Amino acid sequence: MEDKELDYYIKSFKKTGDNSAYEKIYRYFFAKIYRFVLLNVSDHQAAEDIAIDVFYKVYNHLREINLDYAAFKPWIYRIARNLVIDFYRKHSSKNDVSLQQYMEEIHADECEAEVFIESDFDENNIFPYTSDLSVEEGFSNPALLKGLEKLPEIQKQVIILRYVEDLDYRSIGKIIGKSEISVRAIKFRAILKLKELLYS
Amino acid sequence: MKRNTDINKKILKRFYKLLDSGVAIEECLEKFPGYKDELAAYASITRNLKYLQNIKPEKTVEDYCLKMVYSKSRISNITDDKETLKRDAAIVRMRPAYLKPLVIFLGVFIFISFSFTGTIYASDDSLPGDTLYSVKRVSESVAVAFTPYKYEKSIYLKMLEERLFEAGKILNNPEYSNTEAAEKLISDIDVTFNRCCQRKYLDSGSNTYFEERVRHMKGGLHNRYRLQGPGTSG
Repeated sequence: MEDKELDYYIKSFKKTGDNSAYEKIYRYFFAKIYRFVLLNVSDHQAAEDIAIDVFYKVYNHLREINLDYAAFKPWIYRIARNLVIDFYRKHSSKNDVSLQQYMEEIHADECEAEVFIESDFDENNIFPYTSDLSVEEGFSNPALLKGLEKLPEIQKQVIILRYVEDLDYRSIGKIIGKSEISVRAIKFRAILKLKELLYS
Repeated sequence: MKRNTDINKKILKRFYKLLDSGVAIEECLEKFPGYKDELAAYASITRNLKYLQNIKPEKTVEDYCLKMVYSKSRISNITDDKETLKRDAAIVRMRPAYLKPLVIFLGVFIFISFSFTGTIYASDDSLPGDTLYSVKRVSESVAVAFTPYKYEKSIYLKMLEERLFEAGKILNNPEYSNTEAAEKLISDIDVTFNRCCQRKYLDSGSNTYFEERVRHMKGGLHNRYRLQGPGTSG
């Protein structure tokens, strides 16, 4: 969807409350928000619940809030991030949704992880993915996900927003409430840490 | 050996800067042939992260969530933090990168302006030799510098009036004992009066009036502080 198109649907929904315009916005953003949440909480059910909450908030409040399409994207990710933080707070004591546990349950095994870590730089060999992969297949990269899991929360979010969600530093700054320079620094530290975790 | 394990951070930063500018990972690696092996690990991580974009929910999940959003919206008693959402919107809308330094700059500028204005205002009643007197004189010079030539007349006349007023105040204050400042004031009165005469700011009537006042004040100051000059003889 182009920016102009998105702008049109946002304006249309704000003006008339038209559900078809909302659905266009929803379809465009759902996969992104779901993925962002899933990578953060590592739990399908929780990701679904949080994504529903995000879009429920958008559905109910977008009409009252003065936002154009450029500000909409950081805003929706910011809502998602806040809900993820709430989720962390609620589950910090239980810690029942660790990514490691999740991967062990589904399909990851240590051998696979070692293959990833030790393999050489060869994308055809290491990353045989296509764009039509489902969630489970996307998760078949356990070492990286383990590494992400071990990063501090803020570093993990910056890395996901920058490289998975493809957002620019300015937008990320707006989402996490930091300056562009801080975001760059956090990203750099996260990359160094990730390298250390995966290749040490 | 250290180079193999701990790559130069500057090179790494340049590599990521290039990546951020939209250059493909392979091309970025080509730009650093000497570090290709070390950068390969970082390139691999970055590429792997990008592959996480392949994570997509099932269509059924997407549809189910949409239904849930609509059904949740129909339940009216769900409490929601509207204010937080509005604040979030204001943050994403209002916070460009330059805003913080701009606010700091404006704050400092306003603070300095107010302080300076206050100091000038406070220096208005100062006499030669006072701490703030130099501020008063500087503000007069600034006023002259920023006034067009044809409007300078009123400023010079005001300055002459001010110097004579200061001389009068000194003469009326028996405790004033700064001889050096008084001597300087006499020369200032001379300079200002001469400038007014040279530029023909004084017509014949006001010329006589000011000449008389200048002579009177100078004489008074010379006598009071026993300075060398025309007034000493009385």
